[in-house]
Amino acid sequence: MSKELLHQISVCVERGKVNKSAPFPPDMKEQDGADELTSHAIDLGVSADLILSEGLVPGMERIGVKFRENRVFVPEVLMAAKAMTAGMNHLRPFFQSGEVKRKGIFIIGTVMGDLHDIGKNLLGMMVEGAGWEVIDLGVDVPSSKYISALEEYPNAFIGLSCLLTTTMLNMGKIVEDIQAVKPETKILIGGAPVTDDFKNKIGADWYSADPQGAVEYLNKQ
Amino acid sequence: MLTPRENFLRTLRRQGFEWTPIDYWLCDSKIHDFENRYGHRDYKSFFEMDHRWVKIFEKTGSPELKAGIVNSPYFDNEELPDSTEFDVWGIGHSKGSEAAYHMTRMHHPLKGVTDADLIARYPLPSFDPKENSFMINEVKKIHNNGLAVICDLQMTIWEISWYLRSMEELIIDIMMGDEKARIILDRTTEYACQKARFYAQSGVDVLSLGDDIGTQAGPMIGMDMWEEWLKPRHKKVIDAAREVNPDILVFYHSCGHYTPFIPGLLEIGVDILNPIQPECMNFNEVHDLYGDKASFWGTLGSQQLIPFGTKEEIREEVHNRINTCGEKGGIVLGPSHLVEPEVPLDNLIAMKDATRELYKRTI
Repeated sequence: MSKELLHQISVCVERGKVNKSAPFPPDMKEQDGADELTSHAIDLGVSADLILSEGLVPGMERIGVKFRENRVFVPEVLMAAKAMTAGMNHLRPFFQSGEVKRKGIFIIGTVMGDLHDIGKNLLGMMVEGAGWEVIDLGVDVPSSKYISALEEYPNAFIGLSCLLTTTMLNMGKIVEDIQAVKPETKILIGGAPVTDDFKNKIGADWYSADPQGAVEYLNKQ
Repeated sequence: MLTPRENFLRTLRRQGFEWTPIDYWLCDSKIHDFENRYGHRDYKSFFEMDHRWVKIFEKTGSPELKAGIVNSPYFDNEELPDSTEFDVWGIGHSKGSEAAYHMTRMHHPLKGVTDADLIARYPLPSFDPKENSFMINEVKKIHNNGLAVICDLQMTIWEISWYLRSMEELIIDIMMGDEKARIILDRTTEYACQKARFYAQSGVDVLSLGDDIGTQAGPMIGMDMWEEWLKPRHKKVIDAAREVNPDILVFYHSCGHYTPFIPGLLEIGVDILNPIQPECMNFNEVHDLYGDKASFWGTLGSQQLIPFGTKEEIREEVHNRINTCGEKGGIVLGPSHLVEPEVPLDNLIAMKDATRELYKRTI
């Protein structure tokens, strides 16, 4: 019973079925969504840990892979994230009580000089949907802000995002500044102009062309 | 010898050409660099561009926003930074750090609005044809100087709608079948039609439309959504211009990878595809498929080649493009995006010089 329910939750996340009243996707109209099914699973006594790891996370993982393969696009990912959030909202008390633990902490921000946030936000949704806690520092983020966040969350991973070539060039300095203070911190970079060669050049730890690649890297740590 | 306008239009109609036209759009700090070196700001004449861009004068529909007084049901109670300025659409733009140069952070007036009626009544900008009567003379003047005219109607419907509503909320509205999406897109489309009609009446040669539907790695949205929500609205805008001037050329811009949408864009009347970012789309493949039906504009990489390439690499790529397009032409060469601060001026000169090496190629 719970296995089937968890599978249904994962399907709701993957398909972006938020709740019963949501008309999307059309072929799931009138059906319960991630909201109702997660609540139902908790009522049945399914552990929050299991709901996260066997319900919400696999749904986001499948949509992440499809996104990487250009089988779905930004709208489908946004809907999946919305469904994931609807389910996750029921789990928040369990995170607070410590009954469910996240995999780790991921600090993200769009680098100094860059004011774009769509790519960063998509990454944040995917990483949160993979079971990580995401600390979003916003846009135009200087080295000092990443370093302050690392003081608060010393074991966190860092994600640097940018859209423009102009601001990509600021990534090197930020990596250097972070490594000068906390050389053991793993730093992931991404954004339209970024390449693997650039990652090697500036000494970051990981580059991914798509959000799922960053999720897979984090999950291996 | 052809006039620059004749050369430009022949190239874009793939009727043979004497030289390959070029297009640069420099950001403010780059214009400043240019001025420091050459003592003036007229880089368009310096680089011998065959065309000039024109834009009508629009009035904001929300003067209270323009004045910086935000006391309205819009902006979702967002605390706007003191530096916020409002464009004619009432969209807020606040300054970033010094490292952000000319770029600003956008604040969406319709973000968080739940009442569809508020969206239906949101004050869009307007333009008065009488106040814009200068446009006819402006176009004539440019034509008399032998140059072609392209008008700027980019951020045509899709981008301007997400700037108003925020991308996330506009997309969610669409996916959820919420009438707010239809209201916003219908209103921006109607306004774009008015402007397209006016530009065509003013005698411009090229109508430039633009709405991003690509990302670095693939399409931004699925074909179904594009077919239902954007394609018919873009067609309306193009039809509005063509009802006035059937010969007007239509340019379409989208960043990123948008190859799957090209057949649909050509079907609704697009003539020129911009910029074909080489980091996202393979120019030769696109040219093989559509080079007999479309012309191209841009195509030189703003992420790698133009900022970081050597003069030789730029020269090689310029020659590749011109040779790929062949004797009929069909290309205006330029960086695939705004020329940003990191681009060396010498690379722009190298690009121009390389195009002129194949001067008088086919006529």
